[in-house]
Parts: sequence; structure tokens; C-alpha cells
Amino acid sequence: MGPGVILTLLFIVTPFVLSIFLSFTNQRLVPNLNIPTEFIGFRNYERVLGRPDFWNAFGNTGLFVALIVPIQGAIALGVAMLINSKLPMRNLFRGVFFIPTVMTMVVVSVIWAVLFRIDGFFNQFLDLLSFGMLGPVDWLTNEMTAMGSLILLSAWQGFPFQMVIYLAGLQAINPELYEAAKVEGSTSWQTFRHVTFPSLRNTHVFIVIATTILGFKLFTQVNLLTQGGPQGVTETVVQLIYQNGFQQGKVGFASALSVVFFLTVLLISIAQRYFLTNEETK
Amino acid sequence: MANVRLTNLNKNYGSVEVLKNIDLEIKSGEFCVFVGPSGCGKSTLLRSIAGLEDVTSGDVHIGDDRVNDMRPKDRGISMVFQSYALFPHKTVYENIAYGLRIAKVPKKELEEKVAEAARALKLEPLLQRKPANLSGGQRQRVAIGRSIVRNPRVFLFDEPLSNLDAALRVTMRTEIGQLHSRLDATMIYVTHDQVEAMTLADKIVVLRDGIIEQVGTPVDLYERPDNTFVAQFIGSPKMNLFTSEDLTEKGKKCLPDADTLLGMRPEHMRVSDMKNGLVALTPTHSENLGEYFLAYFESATGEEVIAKLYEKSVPDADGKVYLETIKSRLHRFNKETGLRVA
Ligand SMILES: Nc1ncnc2c1ncn2[C@@H]1O[C@H](COP(=O)(O)OP(=O)(O)OP(=O)(O)O)[C@@H](O)[C@H]1O
Ligand SMILES: [Mg+2]
Repeated sequence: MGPGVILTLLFIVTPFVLSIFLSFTNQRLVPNLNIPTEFIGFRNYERVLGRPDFWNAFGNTGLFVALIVPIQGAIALGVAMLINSKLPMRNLFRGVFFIPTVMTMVVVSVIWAVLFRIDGFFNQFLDLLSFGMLGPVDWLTNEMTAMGSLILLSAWQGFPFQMVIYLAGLQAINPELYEAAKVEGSTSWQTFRHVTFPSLRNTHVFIVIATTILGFKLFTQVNLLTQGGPQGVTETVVQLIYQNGFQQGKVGFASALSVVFFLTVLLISIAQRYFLTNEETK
Repeated sequence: MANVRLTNLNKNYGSVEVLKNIDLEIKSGEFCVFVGPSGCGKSTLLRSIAGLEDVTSGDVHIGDDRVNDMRPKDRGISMVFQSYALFPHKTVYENIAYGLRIAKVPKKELEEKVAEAARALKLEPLLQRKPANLSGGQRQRVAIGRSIVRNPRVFLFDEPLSNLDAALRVTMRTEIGQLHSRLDATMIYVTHDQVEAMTLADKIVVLRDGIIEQVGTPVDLYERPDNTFVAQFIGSPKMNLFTSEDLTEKGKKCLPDADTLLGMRPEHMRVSDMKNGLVALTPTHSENLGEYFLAYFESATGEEVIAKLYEKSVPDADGKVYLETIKSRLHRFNKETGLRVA
């Protein structure tokens, strides 16, 4: 066995098998001597699927993913195209645009918490735009704006990763394609639609799947900024796993949650891959 | 169909002068070929005509229009690229129709034009395929199809055959020649390949370091090269140049003075005897190509000389081989300037 196999077994397969095992027990984080740990069959799974807060968290996470994938992808592609054009100082921009991803989400969350404050940047901006007619809004505690705010923050923090991948994709496009389009009379928009966008097909597939998986893992910023509130509109599945497993110590139940969640994400990724790549070979 | 006129054209990249004072007239319906060593500015010149590069100074006229400030699509040109530049996710049909769709040509007219081009280029069975499923030659034909449906005034080609294998190159070369006579169109064609230049061109433009060295018909360039560069660039193996020290007494008589070089093409040289020989050479080795020998020699001044001979050369008693050529095949150039001496 090579070291790769050993490491994979140790750090990826073992924890996963363990959590499947735990999901069929009533294991607690701190053992309670009065309640011995035992197999309880599918009870945890029945509870997971029967609880409205699971479905709520699941729906919120789905909404987050459905919005973050196109938004973050569009920002990443836009900035990548900007950097890829013959901009002066583009190497500087490449570095600058990569800063958000280098910062940890904790730091980013703190910065954005300040921007979202009642007297913060966003409220001042809104005030300016509406000539004082709108706002101030308490972005993170308002049911209408909490999820949107999280999406904006997450897209900002995450886009450079996708941007770098798009940049590599853009640089692989044959420059003569652009020239051919130009000679044939394409406008910039037509060139984007007929040359740039379709040439990035494989990159899009990767970006969509990667962003989906990253999006489903939404946790840090929620935990730091909203704790799932207000009224549970930003509750996410990982947040729920964290609350149940670590705060309430229900390891068995949390394991069942993560297994259900893992299988869902896996299924969605496989479906995406199937549909997105199938289209290409038509 | 239109003529193309370049006047006093200059192109700089920063401080690098890539094209210098280019003056050139390409007549309507002419097949004009740009040749020259790598990096001499052939592509840049072609792209300046296409409008893919802005010129630094000077004028580009196509027909009666000064096109310097026109976008490529308004210049009435079409271009075939070295990489074919086919849109990989579009079918052959959509690739050919691309420019017509952009120009919002009515559906019926578009269909007719694409069908006509497909028929002319034998692409009919391939119309629904994607470029990835075509051979190199088929891709090249699609690229040509895309360029002809728009009825351009001038066709531009940048090394269109260089990605094809030798056999296909010959076939496609013939097809491009036929296309030219059928459409009677003005075509400008960049190539590295001498055979392409000689066989296709009405007019060849030889470039070096951004300067036009000579413009003329293939026969002109071969028979009366203006200078040593053109003399050695056109023809393969290249023309041998001899200084008077290399020549025999008889050879020296062919030169007006010692400042002149005597040029002889390898294919015009014949083995002779000491009495009639123009040059005396030391044989080094020879390659038997079946039909002929490529015989390699060293001249008195130590230069390599190549001759295309039909018999194996046998050295004379003094170890030298004597070669001659008929008078009308001799070329004379000034040693300093390299220019042809009449
Ligand atoms: N964008 C550019 N910036 C700077 N220099 C350039 C640029 N494009 C071309 N050049 C230079 O201009 C010169 C002419 O280039 P060009 O591509 O026209 O040569 P070419 O004759 O087509 O060569 P080849 O036969 O190799 O295709 C070269 O020395 C090249 O390095
Ligand atoms: Mg070139």
C-alpha cells in the first residue's frame, strides 16, 4: 500500500465509515452513565427527516447554493475577463483580487459585520442613493436581508478561487478565435456569447460543481454573524450539525444528519456532472 | 474584388520597427504571396490590411476606400487563419454561416450561400459535424467556406496550409489555386513554403526585417533577383555566390571587376574540365537522391557550395572538380551592397 492509500484511508474513509456507524447509535459527546450507548436502528434518520428545522435548514442551504453559484461565478468570470484583457498593471490586479480568498472567513466576517452595521458602509450607501428616503436597515437581523447579506459576503470572499480557474480557462482559448470573430463582424457581446462563454464549457462544469459543494458547507459566516437567525432564515445544515453534535452533544443524531447531507451533496454533484457534460458531447 | 494599396506604411511595437516604409500595390484579382524569413513581418503586414493591427503611420487603401480607421468587418476582407480558428462548439454549417448571421442576412439567402459554398468545397456530407470530428484538410475547407460566403473584396490567408501533412498540402494548394481562378478574387497569402509561393503567386513580395526586398512574378524573382538576399531566399538549395578568388581564369572573365560576386544556382551547374570550368572546388561529400546527386564542395575561400548534378562528380588530376554554367544563367551582384549588377 502506498502512502496515498494509507492517508486516504486514515483521514477520509475512516471518519466517514465511523460517522455512518455512529449514525445508527445514540452516542453522546459526553457519555451519560444513565443512558448506555446502543444501536437504535434508523431512529436517528427518522428523526432527521421528521424534524421541520432540518427541512428549513436544508431549504436555506439549497437557496444559498442556488444563488451563490451564478452570482459568484458571474463575478469571477467578469473579473477574470477584466484581468485577462490588455489592462495596464494587470499583474497587480491579479494579486489584489486574490486578497479576499487569502483572508480567512473569520476575518472577512468581522470586516463585513462592520460594513453591515446600522451606521456602516451599506446603510450610508443606501442613504446616499435614496436621498435619505430608505434605511437604515439592520441587514443581518432583518428576515428579508439576512440571507442576501450572507450571499454577498460569501461571494466576495470566495470569488477569487473561481476567478483563477476562469483565468486559466480564458488563457487556453485560441486567440485566433477572437480575431476570426472580429473579422466576421462580431460585437463584443456576440464574441462573449459565441466564443468566450462556450469555450469555457469544461471550466463552467468544474466551477459549478466546486461552488455547489463549497456552498453546501456554509457555516463559518453564519455561525459568526447570525447563528441561523433571524427566525431561522439563515439556519444551514452544517450549522444544525454543529448545534446538535457539539452544543447539544447528540453525536449519533448529528452523524445521521451528516450522512443524509453527504449523500444529498454527492447526488447533486453527480447529477450536475452528468447533465453538464452530457450536453457537451451532443 | 478590389485592389489593395499600401503607402508609406510603418508599424512599431513600442520602439521596435516591425514594418518600415512599405509601399505596395496589389491589383484587383491578383494572387499576391508574402514570403520571407520568420519574424520579418509577413503576418503583421497581412494583419494591418485586415485591420487586426493598427498601423503606426501610412495608409491602407482597399478599392477606393482608405480603410485605416475602419473595423475589420467593414473593410470587405475575410481571413483564413493558420489554426483554422473554427468555433469548436458550432457545427460546420453554423461556422460557415457565422458572419452571415451576424450581418442578419435573410434566412433564405443565408441557406443558399452556405449550400453553395458547401457544394463548391465538397462539405455537404459534413455540415452537421463539429470541427473536432473533421480531418485537417476538411477543417481548412470549412475555414475557406466561412471566408467565401461573405463575398469579400479581398481574401487574406496566413500560412493556411502549414498545419497539414505534405500530401494534403499539395492537394489543398491546388484547391486554393482553383478557388482563385474560379472566384477571380484578390488574394493575399502568407507562406513559408517556396513551392506554394512559386506555384500560386501572380506576384511575390519578399520581405526581410520589415522591408520589401523585391516584388515580382515568380519567374522574375528566380531569373532576375534584385539582390543577394532574394537570390539566396528563392530557390532550393540556395544560389551559390563566388568571389573572384574562387574562380578560375575563365571564371574571372565573367566578372567586370573584383568587387562583384558571381552567382550560380545549384541546378544550373554542370561538371566540366579544367579548361572550361568557371570554378575549381574541393569535393567533400554527396547525397544520392536517385534522380540526381546533391554534391557538396568547398570553395577556395572555404565556403560550402552545393550543386545538383546528374552524374557523380569525379575530381580531376589536381583533386579539384571544375563546374560551369551557361552564360544566361549567371548572376552578378555588387559585393558591398549585394545589389544586382545588370
Ligand atoms: N504584439 C507584439 N508585440 C511586440 N512585437 C511583436 C508583436 N507581434 C509581433 N511582433 C514582432 O514583430 C516581428 C514580425 O512579426 P510577424 O508575426 O509579422 O512575423 P512573421 O513574418 O509573420 O513571422 P513567422 O513567419 O514566424 O510567422 C517579429 O519580430 C515579432 O517578434
Ligand atoms: Mg506569421
